Amino acid sequence: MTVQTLVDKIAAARGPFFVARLGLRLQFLIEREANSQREEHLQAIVEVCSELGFDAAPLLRETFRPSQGF
Amino acid sequence: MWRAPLAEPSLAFADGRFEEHGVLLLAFDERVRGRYAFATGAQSGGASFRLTETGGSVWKSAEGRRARDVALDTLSQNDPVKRAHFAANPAIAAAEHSVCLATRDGEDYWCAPPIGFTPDGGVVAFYPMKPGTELHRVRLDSDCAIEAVKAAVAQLRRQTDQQSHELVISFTCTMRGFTLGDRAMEETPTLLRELSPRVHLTVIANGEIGCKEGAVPRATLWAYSLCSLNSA
Repeated sequence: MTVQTLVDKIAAARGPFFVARLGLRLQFLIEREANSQREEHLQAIVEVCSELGFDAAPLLRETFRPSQGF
Repeated sequence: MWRAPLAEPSLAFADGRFEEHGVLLLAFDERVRGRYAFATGAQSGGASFRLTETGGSVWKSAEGRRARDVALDTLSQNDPVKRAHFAANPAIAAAEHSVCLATRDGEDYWCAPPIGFTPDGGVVAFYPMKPGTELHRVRLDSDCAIEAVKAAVAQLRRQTDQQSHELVISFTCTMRGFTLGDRAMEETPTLLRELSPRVHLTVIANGEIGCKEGAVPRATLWAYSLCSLNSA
């Protein structure tokens, strides 16, 4: 899963306003690392979603791959 | 790169029904008397500046400096986190921090949040403004948003003594829904404690038309507008 894919899933689940709020805190990550599959980038998004009251971990696990360690 | 639009599609509620992606069509003749009210509930946030140069909906400079710098200084009040948020997405940051820029109209404010910035330091605004316009820093939290309902009702009351209205339409901004949070459910009861419309319709809108006691209607946002229609 890439950062972009996860953000798209969050947008489908919570709408664009929520993603705009996410973007305030993680704009650089979302825009510059859109193709990243690095765990710390994906986890950073999940953590900020949690701070905003949304559990994005299931969205990340939907595409669980043991090799990625999630 | 994916870009988030500001808000979701408008929703409407009427007589227990819920409509999404609907169109509201009202037809009435000259025997109908319309009365209108508008309020944001915004409160002074203690700072202001004047636009020096504008071009259409772009503020080019303010107080002789680049408009972007002045707007960010005024909105963030030297808080680096807030400044970063407003620089990244000023409209969403306004909702996040319950802070906005607004023009003053008597005791009321019309919100005018920056919605973007130009590469040369200008501010892209929601509607055009003339040089010399004074913009105030205002607070708009959930208490303010509920006060907007009461203020709009008071405006209607000043226009008519009647308590019973045939049709009242409320236009409430999508951004107010975020600001109100769990208190969004207080909005309609607050209205209905003061008015007794035969039919009441609420439209959650992405941008409203504000019309204040007979003045010229104008585009606005983060606002609560009322339209009361009665037989003449």
